[in-house]
Amino acid sequence: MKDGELTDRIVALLPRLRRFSLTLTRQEAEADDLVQATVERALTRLGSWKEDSRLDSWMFKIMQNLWIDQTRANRSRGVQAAAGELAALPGVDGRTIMDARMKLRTTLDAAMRLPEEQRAVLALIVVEGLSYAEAAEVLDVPVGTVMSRLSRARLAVSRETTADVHALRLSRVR
Amino acid sequence: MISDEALMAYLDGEAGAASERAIEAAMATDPALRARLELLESGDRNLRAAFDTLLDEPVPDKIVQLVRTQAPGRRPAPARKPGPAGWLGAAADSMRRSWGASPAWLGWAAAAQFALLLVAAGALVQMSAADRAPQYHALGSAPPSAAPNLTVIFRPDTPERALRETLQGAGARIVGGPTSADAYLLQVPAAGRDRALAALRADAAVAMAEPLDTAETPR
Repeated sequence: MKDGELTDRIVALLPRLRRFSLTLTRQEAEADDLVQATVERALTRLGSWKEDSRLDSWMFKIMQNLWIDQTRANRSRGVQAAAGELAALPGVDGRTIMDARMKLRTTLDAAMRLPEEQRAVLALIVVEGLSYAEAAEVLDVPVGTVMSRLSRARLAVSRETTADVHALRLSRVR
Repeated sequence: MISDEALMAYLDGEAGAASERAIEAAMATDPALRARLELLESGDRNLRAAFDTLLDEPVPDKIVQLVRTQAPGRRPAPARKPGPAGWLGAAADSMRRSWGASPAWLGWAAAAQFALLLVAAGALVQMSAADRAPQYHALGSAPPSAAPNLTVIFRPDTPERALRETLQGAGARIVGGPTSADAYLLQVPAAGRDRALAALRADAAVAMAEPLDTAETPR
């Protein structure tokens, strides 16, 4: 592969990397920092990426590991996740939103309220289109674990989004 | 009764031929099963559309530039491997930014002053990168990790020897950087982090030293 082509592929991946980063961090500033750290690490380790494997999976895995390191460090020091972090996501600002948009908003909120391990599985498989085996490799868990997390995540989101969206929305607005 | 997981595996194309046949046979006679599958499908469409809204905002330009300046096409010689080459560009960029409308050559002249330090720092970065294996550790594996826990910016005129002594004195390794803000990412043993931070801050060669894992806690 030509070097310039690889550069273009990474640049083209950035929006999806940022999306996965938002899924993990649920916080815009933190998400951008994580994308940057991921890119920095990936660029120093391009030699370990196999050309016949998925570049996106490889970078998701780097991101996931950096995030685990970071949250583990925070936990061991007793740093709590910021309260009200969902409000920092793009678009959640209390504006009047059209119904279709609101449905998406409600779905995204429901997904973002899932435990982190379920969010990651949902994002990798349903959103990013990875196979079960690829997601298992990114998350470093067995395929069976991926399947059970995916099942719980899908059912939880579907329970919330088929409920009364207005009630959900009201319960969220303080 | 077909389990949710089995139905989802079918939806995801992961069921395997035998299970696929069984599910299709069951669906032919079971409208409730078809309804469950349709619910899952529409839920997924909904999720994809919802997550697509996260693609709306542009990626910060500094990250795009990071890829463009540090990508593999720009490391023809050992001395210009990603780190230093990227920093050189980033240093020039930040000079241009901070000096507003100054001519571009000013930025490059300033960046050139960094060149010596860059080569030395680049060698450090490469050496520490070579030390660092394996690339990933498993979720359950024990620390220490190579994740940076400090960031430092050296004064621009710092000689290589002072830089080396500063790092050795603090027990720190460079594990990343320089970032677009000219910061190096350092890793020190977690137990010695506060001491290392104090040592770095007291050092004349250091313009700024900050912990990386306390970003949210007010200091």
